[in-house]
Amino acid sequence: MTTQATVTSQQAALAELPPQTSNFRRFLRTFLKRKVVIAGLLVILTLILVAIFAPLLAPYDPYSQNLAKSLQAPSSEHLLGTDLLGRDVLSRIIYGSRISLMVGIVVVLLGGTLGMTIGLISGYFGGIVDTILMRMCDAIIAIPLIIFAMAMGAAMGGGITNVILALGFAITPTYARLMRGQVLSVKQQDYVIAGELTGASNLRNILVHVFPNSISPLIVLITMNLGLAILAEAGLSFLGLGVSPPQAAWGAMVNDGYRYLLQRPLLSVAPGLCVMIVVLAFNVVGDALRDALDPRLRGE
Amino acid sequence: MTAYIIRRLIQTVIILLIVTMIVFLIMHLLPGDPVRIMLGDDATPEQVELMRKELGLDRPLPVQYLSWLGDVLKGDLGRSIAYRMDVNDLVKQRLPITIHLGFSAFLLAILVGVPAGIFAAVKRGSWIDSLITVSANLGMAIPTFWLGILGVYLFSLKLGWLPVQGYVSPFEDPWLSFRHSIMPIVLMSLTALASLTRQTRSAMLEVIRQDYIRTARSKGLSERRVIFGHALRNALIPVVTILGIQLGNLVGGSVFIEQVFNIPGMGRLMVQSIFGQDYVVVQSVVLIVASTVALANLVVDIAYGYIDPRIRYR
Repeated sequence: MTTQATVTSQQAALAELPPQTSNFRRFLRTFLKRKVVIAGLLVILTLILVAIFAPLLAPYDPYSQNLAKSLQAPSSEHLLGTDLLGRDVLSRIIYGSRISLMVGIVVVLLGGTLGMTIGLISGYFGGIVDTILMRMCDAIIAIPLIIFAMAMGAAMGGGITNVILALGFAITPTYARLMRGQVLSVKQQDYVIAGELTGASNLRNILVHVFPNSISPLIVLITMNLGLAILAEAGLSFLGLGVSPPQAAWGAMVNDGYRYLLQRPLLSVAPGLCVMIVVLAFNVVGDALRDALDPRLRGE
Repeated sequence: MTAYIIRRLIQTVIILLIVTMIVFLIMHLLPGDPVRIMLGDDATPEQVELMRKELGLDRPLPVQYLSWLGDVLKGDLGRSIAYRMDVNDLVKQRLPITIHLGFSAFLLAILVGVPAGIFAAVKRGSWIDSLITVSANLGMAIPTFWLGILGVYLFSLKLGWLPVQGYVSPFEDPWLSFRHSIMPIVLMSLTALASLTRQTRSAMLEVIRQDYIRTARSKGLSERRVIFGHALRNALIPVVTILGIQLGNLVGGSVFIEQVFNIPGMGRLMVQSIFGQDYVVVQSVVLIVASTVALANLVVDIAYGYIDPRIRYR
């Protein structure tokens, strides 16, 4: 009887508590709190779909030239008009999304993987390895990203592969520094020390304990860097140091249109607007992710 | 404090040394033969070999590096292949232009960005906070070269208020110089301004929730005293630390602005030298830019040591 009474009173007490929310639900609630984040996610989803289905969505072949239709104004036939070579601007913008998205993803994958590996090694082993790696990162960080990418691009030559390599190397130190900081703090935790005491190998300790516990601020950086990489690629292509013609890249399209600004402002305006919207979307989502992953801000 | 300054000075020298190595290696180890590029595809192997000897490129790489470093330390950046003149003279022509625009843009970014961030934090949740935050987000996402083109279209071509392109020194004709530089300066400052606004806002919000601010408020201090007397100084510490990085970003952004507005500064020199495959100039520009950023970071860190005593003892 007494036991039953206790259970009942416990149940009653539990019923008065607010319903328990899982960490994931709390994360989602903070993450999706602002409407602008949903808009950002929609933009990113649209970008991905447009990039995948570009051949189905583009009304014309983005590379097919027709000099008789050079620099046409927007019409029902060509919604955004045509460029100097008579190519349909809308189709080129649609195909340009592939370059932007691919550059963004591959640059972040390359820079992220390389940087995180360096950061893990540096933070975990410390000592002279740490000093050498971090001083190298400091040196690369001292060179502004776009200048570093331009110098690398200049040495390797243009083209999409070299742009990706240049930007990937340029963002590597940021990941290395952040990862190292994370590792240094995680390394002091009891479970990592316990792992070391049980004789687990360094690699196992790094992969099983240190890495998964260091990843959350890196996710935010990855999202932010997707926008940064897209912006930087557009900049390099604008300067003529990025994706080589006739490939459709948004930055290069802005530059091509600059010469006909008075006649056809849309040639420059439309692709630049696409860059801005996409970068903004990644930045907004990155901001929201940071807030949602920051335990201090979750309750707000 | 002296020990801290000496430590930071040594670190900066090491970083700059590594920068010289990285720059040198990028220009010399990566695929692409500068001599072949200089002489073109028609050059005979003998001509290539002769040129290589003349430029000292036949020597082992470490020897080449040390010889180049020695020259750089003596203040000799070498001779431009494309311009056929000393890089020092080229830099003397171009650097003041980038310094004029870059420094003005940097000042503008601080003078507008920091107060905007403070204001947004103090008015958190209001429409003015939303306006400032949205503008700062836009500022971080807008390709400056594109905004430059829009500016040229609107203010120069359509309204005719500002000259389309070019640069005039303020010592030559201050008013014309102002009309030429105002748009490039505003655009150059944009990313740094947006970033400073965001950083100041979040640093302010972070500080405002601290206990000592609550104490200050509960003592009955006016909001103005709480913000300007207690919160601001602490909130500015993280903002000061990113000034060096912002200067770097600003210099990076100058490449685009100088290109759009046809301004003969360091950024445009770098772009032209890349197209002219003039690796001597490219490595010099990178080195000058990196040294500027590293020195700015040194100054910031020393200032940081003065503002925040905890830093000195780390």
